[in-house]
Amino acid sequence: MNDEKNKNATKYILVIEDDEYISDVYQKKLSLEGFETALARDGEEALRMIRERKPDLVLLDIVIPLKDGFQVLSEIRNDASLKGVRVLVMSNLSQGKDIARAKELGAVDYIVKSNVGLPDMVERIRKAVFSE
Amino acid sequence: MTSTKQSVVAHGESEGASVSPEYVKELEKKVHQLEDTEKAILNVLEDARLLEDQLHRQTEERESILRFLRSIGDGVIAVDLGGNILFVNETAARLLVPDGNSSEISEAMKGARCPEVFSLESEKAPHMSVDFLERVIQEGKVFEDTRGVLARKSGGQIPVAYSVSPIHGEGDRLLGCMIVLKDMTEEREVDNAKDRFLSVAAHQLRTPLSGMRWSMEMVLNGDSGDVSAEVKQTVARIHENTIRMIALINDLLNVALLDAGQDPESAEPVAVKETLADVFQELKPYADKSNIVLEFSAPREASEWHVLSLPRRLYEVCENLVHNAVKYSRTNSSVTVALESVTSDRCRISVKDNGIGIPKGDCDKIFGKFFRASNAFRWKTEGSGLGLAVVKSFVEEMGGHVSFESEEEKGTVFIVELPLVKSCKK
Repeated sequence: MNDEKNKNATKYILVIEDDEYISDVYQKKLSLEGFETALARDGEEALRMIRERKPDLVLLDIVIPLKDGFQVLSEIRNDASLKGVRVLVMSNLSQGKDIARAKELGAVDYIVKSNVGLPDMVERIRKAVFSE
Repeated sequence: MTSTKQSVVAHGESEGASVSPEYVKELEKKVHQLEDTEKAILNVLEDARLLEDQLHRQTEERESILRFLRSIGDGVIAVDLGGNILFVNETAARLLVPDGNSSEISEAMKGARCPEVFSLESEKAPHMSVDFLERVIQEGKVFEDTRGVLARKSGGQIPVAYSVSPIHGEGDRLLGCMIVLKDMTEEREVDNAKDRFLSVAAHQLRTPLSGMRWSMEMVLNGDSGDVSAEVKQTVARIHENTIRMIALINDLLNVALLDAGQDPESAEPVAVKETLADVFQELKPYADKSNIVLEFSAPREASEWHVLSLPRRLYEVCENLVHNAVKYSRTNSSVTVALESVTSDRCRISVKDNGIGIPKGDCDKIFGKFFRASNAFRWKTEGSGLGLAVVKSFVEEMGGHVSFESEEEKGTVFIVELPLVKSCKK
């Protein structure tokens, strides 16, 4: 378990989430797992922070202020300097067309927040961070 | 007429006795002949008038049929076997050429080649025109699509519901087909608005629930520090109920989206056995709680079986059935799931429990929305009554069939038959 945490400690995850309650849980749980985290509360702040320091994984909410998750995704994709930035979408939108759109824009995975328990979520985050 | 005869006779008498009786007779004969001729002429005139009336009536009838067709609220297009347009009513003309004088357009379109004016498509397969003539010729009967698209060759398209029916002439000879179109623009807009509303409503309801769920999971996992066993138990209860609320939102969303029609995503081959294994893994803790054994049997070749399903739908079907079987079973019993082959291209999933069963009087309503059998409600009060409605819709969408056999107090078996797909390539 400690080995796992040490391994996670080398990884930086940027959480993009406007709901304070949910972002608290993310940060608490991810720090407990050993990850380094930072938080952006809207789409513009998110893009600024991604450009400042390339995260190993971006947890991206879709319904967020200023620029929504889809816009953030397509800007990441269209910016050559951000090539290779991995994005895991975490949203409570569950319609097939939203999921398909996010994946088309390059998201590595799509989690419907309410439908996934914390252990599962951590597992999928780990998979997204460490997969080649 | 008699007065004429009298006047002739009177005239003859007034001329004096020089008129011979033969002459009078001759005259009378002539008069009779004339009278006959007159009658004949009148008869002919009468016939002619009748004929004219009939003709008029027929023209009128024909005109009014055309008038009816022309002014029908739905679009009507008749096409001959060669694909030439025979008739376009004004509504159809308006759908084909939105700006312009519809009666002139409907005249101008007579004789035009169908493929040069419009094509019919299905929402499910955009940009693929439906060869309706070919289909009518082959099937010889009406077919319809409530989610169709009318694509104009001049550009643009509109959502329509259409039906295409064969036109038969004497001796059942096929002459062409009749297309009836209904503009569905408004209906589709309402559908989309409903869709958006549901999506937003579900999103807003889920957001606080996911936060609650996760923070409770942290407490239960010890991530938030030590808590007493009592607190843990309470949190576990709240957690369970939170999950139930999340499931309820998912059920509602599923049912509502069923009514709104297909997801645009295309269906994919899904491995049946694997899906059942996933369901078992998910539900094992739930079954363990009541000490219910989950039994599973399948032939070896079943690992190759795939059905065409939208993502998660096969899972939802199996999850619902197995979850129900466990829920309505008594403690210390078993639920048996069997995967079998029916024919080389159909498989059967049966889910059998030894539970409370379905009362006879409730059997015909069991797949209805928001319906729960009376004994089910007494047994476990929670439940949305949507699970089986979702199962039925999803199974039918996959081209399958669901049925059940049940005896109250003895148990129930639900049987799902699904068509298999050959290729399992993604």
